[in-house]
Amino acid sequence: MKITACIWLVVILTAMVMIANFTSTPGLAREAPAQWPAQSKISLDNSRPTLIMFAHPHCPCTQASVGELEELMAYCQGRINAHVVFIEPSGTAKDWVETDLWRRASAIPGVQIHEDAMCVEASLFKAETSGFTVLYDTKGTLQFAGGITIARGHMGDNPGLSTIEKTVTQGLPHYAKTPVFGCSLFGTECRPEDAR
Amino acid sequence: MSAGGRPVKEENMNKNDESVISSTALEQRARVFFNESLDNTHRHTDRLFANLMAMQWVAGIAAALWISPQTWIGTTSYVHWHVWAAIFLGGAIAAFPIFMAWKQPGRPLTRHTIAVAQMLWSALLIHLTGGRIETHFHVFGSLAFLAFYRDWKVLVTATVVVAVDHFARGMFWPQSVFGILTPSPWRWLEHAGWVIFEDVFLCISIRNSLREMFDVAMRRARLEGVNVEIESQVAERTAELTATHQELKASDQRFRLLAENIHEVFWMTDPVKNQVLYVSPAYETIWGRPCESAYKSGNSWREAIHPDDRLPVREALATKQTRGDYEETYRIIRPDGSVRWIYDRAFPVRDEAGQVYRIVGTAEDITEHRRLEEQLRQTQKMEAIGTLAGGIAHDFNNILGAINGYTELAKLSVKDVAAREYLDTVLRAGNRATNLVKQILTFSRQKEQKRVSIQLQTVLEETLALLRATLPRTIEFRIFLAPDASTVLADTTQVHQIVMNLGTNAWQAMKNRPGRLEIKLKNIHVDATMAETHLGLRIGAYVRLSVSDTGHGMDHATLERIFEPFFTTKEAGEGTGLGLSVVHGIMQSYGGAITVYSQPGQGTVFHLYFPAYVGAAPAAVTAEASIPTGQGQSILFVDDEEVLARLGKKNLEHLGYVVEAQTDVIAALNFVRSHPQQFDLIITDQTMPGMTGVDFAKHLLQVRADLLIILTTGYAGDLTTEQVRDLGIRGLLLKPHTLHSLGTMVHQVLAKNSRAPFGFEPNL
Repeated sequence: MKITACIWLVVILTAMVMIANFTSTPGLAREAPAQWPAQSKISLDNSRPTLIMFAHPHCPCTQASVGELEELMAYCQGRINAHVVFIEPSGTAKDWVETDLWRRASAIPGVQIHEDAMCVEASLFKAETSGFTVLYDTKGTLQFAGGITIARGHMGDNPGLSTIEKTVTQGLPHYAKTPVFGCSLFGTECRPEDAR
Repeated sequence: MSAGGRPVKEENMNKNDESVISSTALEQRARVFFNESLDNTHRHTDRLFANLMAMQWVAGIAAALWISPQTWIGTTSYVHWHVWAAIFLGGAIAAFPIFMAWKQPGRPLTRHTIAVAQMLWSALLIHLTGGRIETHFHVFGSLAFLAFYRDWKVLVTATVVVAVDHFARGMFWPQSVFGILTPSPWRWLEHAGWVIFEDVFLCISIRNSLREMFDVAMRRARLEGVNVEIESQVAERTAELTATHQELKASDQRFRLLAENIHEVFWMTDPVKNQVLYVSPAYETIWGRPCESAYKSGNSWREAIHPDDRLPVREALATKQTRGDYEETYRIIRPDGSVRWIYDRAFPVRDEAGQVYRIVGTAEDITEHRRLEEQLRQTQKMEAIGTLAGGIAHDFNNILGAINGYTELAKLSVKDVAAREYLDTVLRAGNRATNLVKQILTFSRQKEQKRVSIQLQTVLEETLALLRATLPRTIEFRIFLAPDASTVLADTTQVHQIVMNLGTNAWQAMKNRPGRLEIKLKNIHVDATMAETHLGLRIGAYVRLSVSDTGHGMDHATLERIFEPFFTTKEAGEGTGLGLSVVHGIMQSYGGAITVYSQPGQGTVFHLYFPAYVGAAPAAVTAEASIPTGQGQSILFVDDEEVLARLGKKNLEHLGYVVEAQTDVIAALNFVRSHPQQFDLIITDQTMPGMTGVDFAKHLLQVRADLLIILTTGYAGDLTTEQVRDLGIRGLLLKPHTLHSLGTMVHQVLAKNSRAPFGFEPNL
């Protein structure tokens, strides 16, 4: 029975390691545009850095990303112009977008919410994974691209958040890139042409 | 004193040893209870954790389904990996401990497995919550729960798992356990320290719990000891009670056996309440009333007492019972009217204060005893009358012998016809008187009979034919003679006499009216009971002759006297009063018995018991022949009665002998001593003044051993044939003897000159 117990323990530990690995496995990421895309309907703020987070309305992992954004906004105290773009693939109704996650993001002071019909904005900024966040300075230069969580659905200290905070608060010319943990924004049915 | 001191020390040591042994045994027993209780705790906690595991698993699945049920790729959703992880990983974590708790509850491996699994749950939760500090409370809650086991080693296992988990994840993925990216390398120790901090208190709690458990076990062991002792005492008392109960039961059974089988009535009364507390079943037999009647009324048994006896019994009850000298004989009348005699005794039972609170006693039915007493008294009376009558008859015999003898001689001498007729008249009268004396002697059993082996039925057939011819036709005869009736030793003439006497009595009892005379003969075996209740009978085979009639019967007073000689209820001239006396005497002389049952108006039945004879039959009596004569042999005839001496001399001389008569026995003895060869035969009377015939014979035989002697007597008394023969006397002749009997005996003795034949010669 002791051998069985050992086998059981090994199996459990292996499974936990696998889960940990899976949790730590980032989503697909592409290089965000180094300059603010002119086609974007979102206005670049000339007085303060502009942050855009792309989110899948139903992604449970993005709860952590929104939560981190909430902390970031509280920390930055208006020194950042933040936008959360919820993708709105074709064929989806308005209530598909307006989820708990949408309402939570809407409730963050200073954050503007956008429905990205046909995922146009996401395509412009090369977003692939929910939680993908980009930060442009007032001149439209990319300062940061990536996720602001350490793993899927995990809140807490993470490199992405630290980078944004330092960029905003210390004004250091800095470009950083971090992995993104979240659901894939695009299925085959709504991936923009350029993204394919 | 030193010798006295050592045992005390040894005794103390023994007591200490016993105490140590007792204490050790108690502790061992408590240890058993403690382990038992602890094992129950382990098993119980195993079950609790099995439930908790299942609940955590279900809760994990529910949380996954609620928080992150799906993952998305665009508009396409899939089951979130959290859900699969909750199902499969959670299931894997929970299943094995549940299995262990189910299959091997209480074993150390089970609870350690559970401890590991529970900590893995904590690790998983902490991981899934990104190391949220709140989730760490799961660890502390789990440890507290694990403390339910009251096994500090389980806490060690759990603590090790927590520490290793924190260490490993702190090293490789700190945010999943601490929620930060760059923790201190020793932060896992801080967490482990807090866990150990809790462990310390939990261990203290466990130690206290274990101590309490052991105290409880000790109390239980002590209680068990007390219980065992109590049970032992109860068992001992129960065994004692059972033994006592069995003894009581056996005693009761013995008493019942005694009380229910003994013929006497055992009784117990309460003198204060005048209440019968107990009467044995014999009461129903003797009183003829149910025992319940005695219980219902304390006076019930008294009401049965004969009115004539009530007063003395009542006085005795009042005065003697409590004194202890109550001993009364009284009669009771049973419901069927029969009267029983009771011998009642009572004994007072006193309490500690000396007060009589019970009377116990016995009541014996002595009716039969009194009947036998009466029978014995009657027999003794008959014996006395017989002795008296026998003595008188003896004198009569001598007188009649002289009358008859000289009359016979006179007849031989006298030629005158008229004178011979006169002498014949005298002889007839003399013979009647002789017959009367004969009957008296028969009754008094002083007449020797010629008892031979006979078949009673043969004799009865002849006798009954004569009786039938004698009795009128109005008397119905019924005869039942068993053909297999045994042989008896009896005198045919006497049997004839018995039947005729009883038959005549029966006829006279049925005189002037039709009636039935029934005569039965059959074999009967007298058993112990019958022998006890019938005087004169002994255990053995008998032939019973029953003569019953349907006559007027007899009352009790008459029955008591019917065997007395000269007692008669007949008219004057109808009977001598000797008939039944003779029958009684004959049966007594046979060693048999006679009983009679009669009720006025109900007839009478006589039962005559003849002892069955199984030996060889005595020699048949030869027919009486002519008187043998002598050839001049010399005979000395000695009798103190001169008349008889002369008669004997005359008779023997008439038969051809030379006879010397002598009335003085002493002179006769002296003469023989001086002339021992002179006589061929000496005939002597038994009863003589100066010397009995027997003593005379002894002296004669001393003088001359081969001398032939014949002893004559009118009253044999205790003298038996065997005694006489053993003395050397050649013949015994009963008076009054006839010429024929005298001549025959003398001839036989002289002719054979030997001891045979020998016996009484019927001489009447």
